Amino acid sequence: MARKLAVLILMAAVMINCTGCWNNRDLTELSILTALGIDKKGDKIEVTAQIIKPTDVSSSGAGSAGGGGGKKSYVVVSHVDKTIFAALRGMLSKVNRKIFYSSSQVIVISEELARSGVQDYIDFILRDHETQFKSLVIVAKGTSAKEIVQQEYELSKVPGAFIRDTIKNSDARGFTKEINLLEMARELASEGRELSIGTILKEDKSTITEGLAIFHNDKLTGYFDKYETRGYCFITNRIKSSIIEVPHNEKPEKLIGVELMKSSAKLKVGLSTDKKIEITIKLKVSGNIGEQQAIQEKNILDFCRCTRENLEKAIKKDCENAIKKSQQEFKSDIFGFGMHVFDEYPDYWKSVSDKWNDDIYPNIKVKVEVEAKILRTGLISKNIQIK
Amino acid sequence: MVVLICLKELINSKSRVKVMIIYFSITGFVLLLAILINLELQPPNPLKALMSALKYLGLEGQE
Amino acid sequence: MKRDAKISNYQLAIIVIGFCYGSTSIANPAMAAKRDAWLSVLLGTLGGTLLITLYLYISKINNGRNLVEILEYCFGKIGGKLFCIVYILYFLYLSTYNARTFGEFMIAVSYPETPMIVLVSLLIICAVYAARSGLSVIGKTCEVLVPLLPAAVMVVTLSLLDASDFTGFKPMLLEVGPVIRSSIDLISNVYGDFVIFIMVLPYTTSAKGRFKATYWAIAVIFTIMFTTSTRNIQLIGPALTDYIRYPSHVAAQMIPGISIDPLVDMNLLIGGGVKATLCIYGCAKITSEIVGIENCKPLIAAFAMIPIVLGFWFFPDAVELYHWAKSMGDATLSIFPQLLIPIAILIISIIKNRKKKREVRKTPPELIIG
Repeated sequence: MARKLAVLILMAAVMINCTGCWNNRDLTELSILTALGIDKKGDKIEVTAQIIKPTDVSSSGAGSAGGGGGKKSYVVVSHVDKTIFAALRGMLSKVNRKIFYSSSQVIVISEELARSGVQDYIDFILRDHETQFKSLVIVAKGTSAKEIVQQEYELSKVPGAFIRDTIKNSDARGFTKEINLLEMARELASEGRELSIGTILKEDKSTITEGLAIFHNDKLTGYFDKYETRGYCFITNRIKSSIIEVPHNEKPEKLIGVELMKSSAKLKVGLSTDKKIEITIKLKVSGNIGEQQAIQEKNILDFCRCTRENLEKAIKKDCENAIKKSQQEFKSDIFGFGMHVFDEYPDYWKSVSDKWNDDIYPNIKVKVEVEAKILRTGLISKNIQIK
Repeated sequence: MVVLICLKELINSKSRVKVMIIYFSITGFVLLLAILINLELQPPNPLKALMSALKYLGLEGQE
Repeated sequence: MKRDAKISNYQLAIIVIGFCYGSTSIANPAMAAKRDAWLSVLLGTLGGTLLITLYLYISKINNGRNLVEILEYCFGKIGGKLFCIVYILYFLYLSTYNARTFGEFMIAVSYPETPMIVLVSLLIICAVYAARSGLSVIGKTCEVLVPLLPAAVMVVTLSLLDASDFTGFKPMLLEVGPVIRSSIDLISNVYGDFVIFIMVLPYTTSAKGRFKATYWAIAVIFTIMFTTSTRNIQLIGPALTDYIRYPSHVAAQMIPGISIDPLVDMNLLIGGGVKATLCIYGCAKITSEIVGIENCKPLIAAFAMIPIVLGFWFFPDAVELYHWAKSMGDATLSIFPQLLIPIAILIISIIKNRKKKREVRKTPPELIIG
């Protein structure tokens, strides 16, 4: 009997302890962080946190579409300090509950901070056990991270999740890059690949996620526009689907929209006899005719052939522009060609790795070959002619 | 603190003299070590000695 | 030698999986080889299989004697007892290291404010309860809990197939040094600890199925380790493995949508629990056999207190633990009990068995005459 009692007490003790009571924090004691913005202020940094008010979000069911209520469902808090950890702790002087970082959807880095180097500031986010490695990272172009984090969206009560979803839509457009914290750390730590992060800009009363920020080591050096970003996404296999506008053969001012369903890229590295690297990229895409502006075409087979050729030219142009810009203007190997050279020719890589970005990469020959296929033309075979 | 947790485990069944001797000698050793660690008077760590020996031989691990 | 049969061969295999896989779910020695981790797992398993075959053979030719009896048979009463003490110390070190690794992981990942002693004590208390209940209870518990291990690994791996980036494997074997080192670490950490099973093997129901059951267990362990290492290398990339302490935990975090990283932690709980239980049980059993006590139960509680305190003595803080884990210290300490003593046992057993056979052949004619 005494033994049974002892066992029961032991079990109760174990159960109580195993729920992590030392570290126990109820949901009512936490502020849920959905977006984090990091700006540079002089030699200190300003951390902006977007904290959700749970009661206002839950009542948004009927209210959001009709715009009822009118009150924001989130609060933005900022604090300036020397390190991110200190700034987040400092926020506790402005927020009544402890901040819970695990729900952070997006981390916004300002342009100014990116230009001065991100290495010093991402350590906390990687080290802490609460931050999620799968939060997405984005660079705020032409605006501060605070403004992006403060931005209100009509379509969603949780702006952090809204920004995250617009970034995730990149696989349907190819105009920006979706990168999470783990991939960012991986690109920074890997030899032979430079970091690149998608960008977010402010436009009218909302934001657009378009473009790519190019880094050299850990400092921002410049941007790609949306078409060059698309070229980057093609080469690095990040596009699942996209719309490419192709001019018509006979009347170039009329456009045909091709919806790409599949895209795959294969890289081949060759080392010529005089120790020069040659890279061949073979892109295979297939798509459907999604939209065609009014024009009379004679033969559908010819039409498809011409469209295919123009599609190949358009994609090739995007890719070549992207490569050329990264080679000449930024001297930054964001495509990871260095990694492929390392895979195939590790001894050669050892001899050139420190001068890869500045000396060797701008001079390597990259050939892009595109093979396109037009599969279908949708529900109508040719566009309607006015009679 | 360690001592308190040790006391939790004194669920003894019927035992003979030998068991009592071994049991109490082990418990005594553990308590002594625990007290020494609490007082920061613990004897030098044997594993550390092994690691310095390995370092001397050149077999140190990477960090 | 008659023994009360306590565990079936299937249960033996299950316990071996739980025990050997134990702490690799969070601290996989193969990761030190980075992009060649898969090769290191392969080499480690080959070496481990040889080592385990050695142990199984020792048990076989000694006809159902457990470790204490084998040592006494080979080295005489006093020598045998001395070597038993070596093994007791080794198993105590094992359980200390294991419990401490478990505690450090839980604190780093989930419970930063909980004192270390609480976590280590909880693991040890569960291990004591299991060990006191005896080998058959351990077997049955493992039957229920251990299959969850590969299941959890499969769930995490399959959910991550989409997110992996298959660029991590080439070029192969740039540096042979790390591969050899991590293979040796793997053998001593994972497969070498099987030496404790020489204590357990006599208690299985049939002697015939032991080899087969153990080899099946090795195959399962190899599959799990291979899958986890390759998945982690693909996900994290060879460059980052230097920086990330717990790759499986990070991998589990990357599953899109849901947050099931505690699934990896559960693996450690089960594996660590089995390892701690068996080590303490082994210590107590050996002691009771040396001293001549029938029931080893009271001693289990005593032996369980040692790892708790030794943890604080050997590894005062986390950095010491990591430093020890990365150095060859563990492998060096394990060479004597895992390799040298068993080889000596094998040689002496074979010689003694041959002598016995010769004697048996000689005596019958004299008996007939006499």
